[in-house]
Amino acid sequence: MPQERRSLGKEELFQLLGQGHAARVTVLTPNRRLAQSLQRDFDRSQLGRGSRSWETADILPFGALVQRLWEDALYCDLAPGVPLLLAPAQDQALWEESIRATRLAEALLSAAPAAAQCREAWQLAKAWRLDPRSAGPPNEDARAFLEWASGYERATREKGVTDAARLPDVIAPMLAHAALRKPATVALFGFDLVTPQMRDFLAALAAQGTAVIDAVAAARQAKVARLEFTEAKEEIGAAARWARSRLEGSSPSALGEGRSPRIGVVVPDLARSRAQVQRIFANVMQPDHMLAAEAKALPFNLSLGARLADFPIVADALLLLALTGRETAFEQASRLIRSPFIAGAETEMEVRAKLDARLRRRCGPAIALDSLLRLCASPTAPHASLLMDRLSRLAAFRKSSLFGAKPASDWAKAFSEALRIAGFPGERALDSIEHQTLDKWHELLAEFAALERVTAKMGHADACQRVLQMARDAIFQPEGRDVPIQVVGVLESAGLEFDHLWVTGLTDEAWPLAARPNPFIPVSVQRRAGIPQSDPVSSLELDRRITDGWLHSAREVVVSHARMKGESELAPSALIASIPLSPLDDLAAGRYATLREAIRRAGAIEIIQDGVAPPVEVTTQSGGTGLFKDQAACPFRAFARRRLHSEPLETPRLGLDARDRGTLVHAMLAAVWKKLGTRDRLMAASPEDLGEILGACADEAIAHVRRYRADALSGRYAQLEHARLMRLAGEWLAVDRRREGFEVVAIEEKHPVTFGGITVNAKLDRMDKLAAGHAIIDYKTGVCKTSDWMGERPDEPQLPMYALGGGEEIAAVAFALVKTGEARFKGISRVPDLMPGVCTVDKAGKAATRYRDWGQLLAGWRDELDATGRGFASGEARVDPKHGATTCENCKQHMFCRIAEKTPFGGAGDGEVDTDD
Amino acid sequence: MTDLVRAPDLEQRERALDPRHSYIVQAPAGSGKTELLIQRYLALLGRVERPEEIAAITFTIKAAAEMRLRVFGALRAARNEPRPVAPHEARTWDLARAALARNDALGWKLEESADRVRVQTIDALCASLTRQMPVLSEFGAHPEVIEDASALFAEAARDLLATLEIEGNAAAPAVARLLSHLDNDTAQAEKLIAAMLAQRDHWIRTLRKASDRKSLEATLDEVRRATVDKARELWPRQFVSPSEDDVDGWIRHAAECLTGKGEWRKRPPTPEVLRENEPLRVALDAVRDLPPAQYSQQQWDVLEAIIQLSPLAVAELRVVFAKHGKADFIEFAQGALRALESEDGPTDLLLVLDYRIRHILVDEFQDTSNTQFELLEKLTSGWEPEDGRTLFLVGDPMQSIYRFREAEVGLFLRAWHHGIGSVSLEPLTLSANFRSHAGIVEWVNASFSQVMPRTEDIHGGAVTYSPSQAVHPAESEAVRVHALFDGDGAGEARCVAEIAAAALAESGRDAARPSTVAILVRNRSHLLEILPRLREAKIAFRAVEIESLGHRPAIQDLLALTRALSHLADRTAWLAVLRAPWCGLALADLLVAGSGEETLTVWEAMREAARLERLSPDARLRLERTREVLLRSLTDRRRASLRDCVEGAWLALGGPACVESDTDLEDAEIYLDHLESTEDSGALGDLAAFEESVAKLFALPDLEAPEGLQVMTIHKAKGLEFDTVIVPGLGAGTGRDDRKLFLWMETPESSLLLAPINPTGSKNDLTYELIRGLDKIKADHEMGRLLYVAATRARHRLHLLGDAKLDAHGIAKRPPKGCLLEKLWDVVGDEFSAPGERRATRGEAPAVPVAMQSALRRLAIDELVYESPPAAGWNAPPEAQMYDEIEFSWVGDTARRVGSVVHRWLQRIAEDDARGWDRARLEAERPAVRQELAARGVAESELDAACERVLAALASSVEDPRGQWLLGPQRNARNEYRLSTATDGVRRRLVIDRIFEDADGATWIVDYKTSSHEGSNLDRFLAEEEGRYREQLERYAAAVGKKGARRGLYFPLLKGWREWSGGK
Ligand code: SF4
Repeated sequence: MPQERRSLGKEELFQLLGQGHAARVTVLTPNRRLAQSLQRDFDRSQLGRGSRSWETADILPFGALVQRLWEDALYCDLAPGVPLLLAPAQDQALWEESIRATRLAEALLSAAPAAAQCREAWQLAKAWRLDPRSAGPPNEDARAFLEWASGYERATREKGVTDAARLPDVIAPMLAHAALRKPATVALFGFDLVTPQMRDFLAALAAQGTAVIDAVAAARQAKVARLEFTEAKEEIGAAARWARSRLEGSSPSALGEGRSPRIGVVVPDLARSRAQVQRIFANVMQPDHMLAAEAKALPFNLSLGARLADFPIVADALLLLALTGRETAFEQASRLIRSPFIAGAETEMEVRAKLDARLRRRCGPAIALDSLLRLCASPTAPHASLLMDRLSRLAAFRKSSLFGAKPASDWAKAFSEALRIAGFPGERALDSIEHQTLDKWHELLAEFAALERVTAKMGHADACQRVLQMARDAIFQPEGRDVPIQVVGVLESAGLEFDHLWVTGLTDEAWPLAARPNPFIPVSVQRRAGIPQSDPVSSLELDRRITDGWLHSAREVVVSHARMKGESELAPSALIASIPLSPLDDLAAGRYATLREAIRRAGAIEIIQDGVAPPVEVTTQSGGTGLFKDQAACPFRAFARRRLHSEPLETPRLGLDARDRGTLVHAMLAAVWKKLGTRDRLMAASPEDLGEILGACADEAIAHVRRYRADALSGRYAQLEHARLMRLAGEWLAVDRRREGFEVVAIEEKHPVTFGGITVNAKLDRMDKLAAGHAIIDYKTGVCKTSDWMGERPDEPQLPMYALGGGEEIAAVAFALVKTGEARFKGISRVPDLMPGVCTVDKAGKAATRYRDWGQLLAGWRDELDATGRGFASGEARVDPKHGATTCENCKQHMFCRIAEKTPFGGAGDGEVDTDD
Repeated sequence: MTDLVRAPDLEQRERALDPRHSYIVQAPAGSGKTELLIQRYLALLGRVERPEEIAAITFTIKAAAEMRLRVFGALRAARNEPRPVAPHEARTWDLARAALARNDALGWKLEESADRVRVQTIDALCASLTRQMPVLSEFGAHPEVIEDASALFAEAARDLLATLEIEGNAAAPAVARLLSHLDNDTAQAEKLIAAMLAQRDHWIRTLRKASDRKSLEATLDEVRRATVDKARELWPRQFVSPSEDDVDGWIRHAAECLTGKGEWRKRPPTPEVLRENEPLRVALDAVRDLPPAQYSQQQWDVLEAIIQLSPLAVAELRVVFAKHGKADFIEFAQGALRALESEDGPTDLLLVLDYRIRHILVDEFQDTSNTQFELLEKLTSGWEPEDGRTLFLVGDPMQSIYRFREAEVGLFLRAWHHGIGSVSLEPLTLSANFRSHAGIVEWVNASFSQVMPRTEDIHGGAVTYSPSQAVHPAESEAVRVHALFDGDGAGEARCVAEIAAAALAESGRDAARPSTVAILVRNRSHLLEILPRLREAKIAFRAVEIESLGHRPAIQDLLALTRALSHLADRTAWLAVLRAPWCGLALADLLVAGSGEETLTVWEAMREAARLERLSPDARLRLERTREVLLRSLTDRRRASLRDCVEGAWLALGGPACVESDTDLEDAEIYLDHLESTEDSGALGDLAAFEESVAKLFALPDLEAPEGLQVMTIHKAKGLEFDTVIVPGLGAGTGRDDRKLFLWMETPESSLLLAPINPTGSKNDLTYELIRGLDKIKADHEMGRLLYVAATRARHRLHLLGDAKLDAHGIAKRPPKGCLLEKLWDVVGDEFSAPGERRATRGEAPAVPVAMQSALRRLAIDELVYESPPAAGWNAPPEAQMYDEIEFSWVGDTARRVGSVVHRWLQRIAEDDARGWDRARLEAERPAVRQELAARGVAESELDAACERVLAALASSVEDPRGQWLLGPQRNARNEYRLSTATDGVRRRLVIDRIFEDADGATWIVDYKTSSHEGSNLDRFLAEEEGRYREQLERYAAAVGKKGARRGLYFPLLKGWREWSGGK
């Protein structure tokens, strides 16, 4: 920077600006935020002079001035020679294209972020006049950049466009033209550094008669304090309370009429901690802001917004576009079904939730619009007619208009139409933030449409991906009002002036900023040019200047740092470590009560006994013998599931789950025995015949399950499953072959049974007629043991219930374990040697120590089942899991039964299982 | 204190500071290795050109921060303080002084730029390398680091499995084969592939060598022979045995000698000589389980499928990473490896970083992984002896306990003997123990020389014991072993509580330095009975990362609320919300309000008036309160973040009044923060996955308890020290290990052996078991080391508690393999010799105490009265912006853009006083107009039409008399006149299109409106427009201070005009 430049104080600058447009003064700032803030300060000074209106001061960032001049050039006879300026998204798209055009791109994880970094390198190279080749042979990364950059440059040349990085160099030679409205005076305000490119441009302006001067805020003598906190959260909290104290404690007389104090809080990694900072400040400024019926204005404002893609209204719009593609994740489709931003969302809120709950049982983890539509249309599904209507129109629109390659602007219109068809943005009235967000979304679509200038036609997926990426890159902050407390990041803090300023987060790790050279330009080149971020020493210099700026930009300055970050201990930044440490109390920051504490102190806890519900009114219960199983396992579970239908949602899984696979096997064996009927027939069947039978049965079983899991049981998987069923059934028939003669007399039969006053339908898988009586058989595909039938609270009451409830004389009950490599019977019979693997009570060992013979066993079962039924009938709902944690493990009622409150210590959640053997 | 005594290993320590040589240092527990590292770091600083040339690598972020802090502390002391007297502190001071001199001479400004001291974890190092080499690392740009990538692994696994259905996909047959092998269990396949991806750093390179069946089977043969050789050498010559080459013969032979359980056969009786030869029995047992020499066809089929699928799975994973813009640490490490060496050889970091890494220090080297080892090899590639570059590795192989995080202790041994890459390392061993008193050190020396293996084995991860010398003198009764019998968990809990109480009481005596007690367990579940017992005995403790956050009742309630607000049909969650303390509905009321019908959601049911009437007044009050709150949350759903929505509802319901302790409130905060970091645009993608992730978090320790007594796992205690250490649960077994898709091993000759998981339903695959056996041996060795870590945490006293089973005679049996007590049995077995009492088997007590089974804990409803704390007082200005009717769908911006260009041209024409502007001249500007429209973003396809409209509008303006008057010469005319105003505290910026005084001296304020209108009744349209813009022009008039000015609206596209006069 030429040192002999004239330098003005802020007051003088405002005087100059106060002369109005005639003086042709333009103030340049490094960023928009500072321009706005300076504008506000100027307005205040005008108001202070009693003006009611005045000519707007011309204050803008450097880049904006260059663009203004460029526009001037466009509207004069220079126009034909003026290149068009690429919008950032266009610029990014061109970079991506030039990267994708090279072989190198194939190996990369993704090109888009690389393009962003290349753009940055390009900007650096232009702003700092770097010659990447000047450092000798480039490394691979630098070489890649050179290749991409030359592709990019060529593309811009061919298209007659330029970018913001080059614009100053494009415009500088045109400055002589009269149509370019050059200021008489340019004042630089708040620049911590001036790049060579900007310096040259200013020199070119000066050559046209523009006076270039510096303007600086008057350095103020600040009261400075340094504070240390344990954690960043605590630090932000203290800063918020301090800010509130200063806001409330200011005397208007000291500040001037009607003026609130200007309070600044700098948070270095604001981008990361935004949400937290927002919340802490809101909690301090208005402790009950979350409860307040209407959002009140809060006196602070964060300088950084969030990603546009993260605003729910935009996120759902993006999901909707994705849904018109090939396939989306089920969870995304599910979110759309329940989204408040599509037509009928309020009217059909409940039914859509129910519909979704049902879909969860029938879908895999990914789904396409057409199959979604089909599932929704099922006559048994909860009927959400508005939704159906929109979805089917959307599907039709998809077929007619969302295929093929189109230019971006066509896609933008098609997307917009798709959203309209879906009834976006929904029934609910938009609030102020949603309004602004929607506006911004439209802007984004416009920007996307403009990509057509630089990109070829694209397909649906590509178009969606680009819109998504743009929405992720767009940082958006809904506008609020003029507020006294500004929370800003480091970069935005430059040049701002306050009455009170608190700079947080000054640990040695965070400040000075670590050097982060751009990887695409040799570091030595960057370092020689003096780019601060490329070199620790110049980074330190810059940050020292910034620190110095803070210390002089307010009457009161507080700097602070946290001692711990996670488990690590941190030191204060060396740039402020010399400021003596003061205790928090010295700041006279208020202690404001929090809502949480107020509520915590308010309530009183009572404990009542509530383990018995009113007795059941309807003694016939649906759902089969599972009720008894639940009641035996844990009375509360039975109460919750059977009387309140307490079921959680399911998560769609890939392929079939254990239940479906079990159903398949059951259906398979049922079909097989329906065909075969007797062992004799089995023995008589030739291998070919048998193969044919098995094949047909497998088809049947698959068709059965396909009715509700069509997506999972199709294509090759169905073939594999077909083969598996045949194999399993084959293995099983080998077991049945080894038995004495029998006839299968019942398959999948149901009949009602009653125990303890509760009637349920018991279903048996199969009943065989043997010489000595009937055998009841239950197919199992997982673990099973006969001891599960025994005891006061049997784990598997199904077979005993059937055995006792049926009319026939039962000679044996048995599990049939149908599992690859483990096919066999396990069971108990009245007399010995009825079936392989099935023994009499006295041989059953540990499993049946309680009973001496078959008769006792049956009697015992009756007693136990009656007791269980009575328990349920009488409303017993104790939280009493039979085997403690083991019982609870596969139960989904935890949060309802409140087991966590009742067991003294809930073991680890780390999945370490102890086996004592 | 450490300086009072001359360390017995001073010479070794001094050598370690020689900055010219590379070392590997074994530093046992308590030997003060951090200090040594810092001294070495300072010594190196004094010799480098730039501080960045030294890379120090620590195991944890915490350790990095600590080391950095101490380096800066040393520098500060050297800058500001006099040279200390104590020789060892003086040594540090001198080194720091020299470093400072270097700093000052070369202008590093080290003390201000903390970042220049490169002490970091290996993950951070990898990240910084990949960041600087986006192309070489094949990232493109830096993805976000994700610590728990399991969801992404699963996604990639699903994507891979989905290729089954893609016509013509090359992977499909392999997927089919794999699925058949796993009984078509897709879920299982997904899990196995995901688990495989989570450990891909292990096999990614190895598997590339594995395509060839012959070489794999050759390795199998090699391993078989080696195993037989061991048995053959031990086999006494006097007995017959199969020939040397007959491996299968030996397998049969072993099966003849040993039973299925691996014991000598009784029939026919085994000769005494053999019986007594335990090593022989072990060796034969290994032979007995050997697999056949060739893979079965089935084995090979699936193995081939796995080999084929693995790289495809990795490729899918990279696609998934790219899609999410995230990557795990492994990916970063792989990226760094790729970046450090390309096809043209090692990368020259000088070109990349502008400096070279010349010195590397690695802490905790015993826990290094294969990937890290490889990284070190690459970083040091091309280093020559004596070229001034050094490697300094510190660690204690006896404390290597992170196998589950891929630590390979064998690598330490390898480096010890063979160096790393081209760098040879001089081994140094420290022996001084500055931590524990002599009693403990001596016990540890005596015990662990027995517990740890006598011979070292790089492959089996066997580390021998290296003794320590205590610096502190002995105290009485350092170590006590407490024997318990037959699963006496209650007894153990009682015993622990007593010891803890006594130790705490003791520490209470010396108020100056409160002493510390720790209960260390290998497995959290060992605390199941201990913690309740401590609570019962009113002994306050801090359980560090012990209890699962998800298990806390307060968190379960928040989770219920989260689920309920996320989904109306989640019945369990909704019922839980009604049962939670804030609402606390009794069972009877739930039956009414919660609906018995599946077809209604709870939310629907609880709003039915008829139901409410059936409730008791108390229940009604409860339900109505809850309903109010939830109604608001649901109405405003997906406006704020889900976190805010949940927190708001929780507060409104009185959640904070329901918690059991203040710690719960902090836990709630952890939960809510976690929710915030997981949610995405105000919703949770996958609720089930979220719930799982909550279960992985830990509840905070009791913040109100003093720090005197801490409870944690042995792993967590690593690096810490306590006055008294209590280690219960020595007799408890270990967890099971999950089966993997395939296992692999490298022989000492580094040939590869692979085994696939056995097919579902069939017996264990012998090849698989063979490799797993090696793993078990490693695990067994690690157990001894874990015990060492636990024991060496103690400064003064160590208590060990173990439980042994009794045999029929009441004699304690040797504990089974797999528990710590078994490792220690030879040392402490005697303590168990006193015959224990056989305990009668207890009747099973109910898991939930009877008193709790029916208890409902809830808020006494009428007592929840509080006042909201006041908000900040300030004068909020009115909201600055009003919203126009918004278009709900976007139809393109061409119209607006045409308007902007027209505006701009009118300005230009007006500036020329419209002189010389006519249709022809305008026509000549067509290319410019086109250009301008394009610059504003008008689509190519619409350019011509837009251009036409602009030119038409302009032409009609310059031809139209109204336009000529308006744009023509006027007095005091200004165009695009920018003004600022402030009224009622609202600041506004105004831009007036044109303002002038006409010939009659009347002031005109005119705005151009480029609205367009189709169809008839233009007048009505213009009148409407006037209505719309009246207020705006009023504001203009007020701002220029000319209330009486004439107002005009000019519509160039419509040739329209409206004018009116102002009020007085
Ligand atoms: S989680 Fe356990 S206690 Fe709760 S209902 Fe289920 S089984 Fe019973």
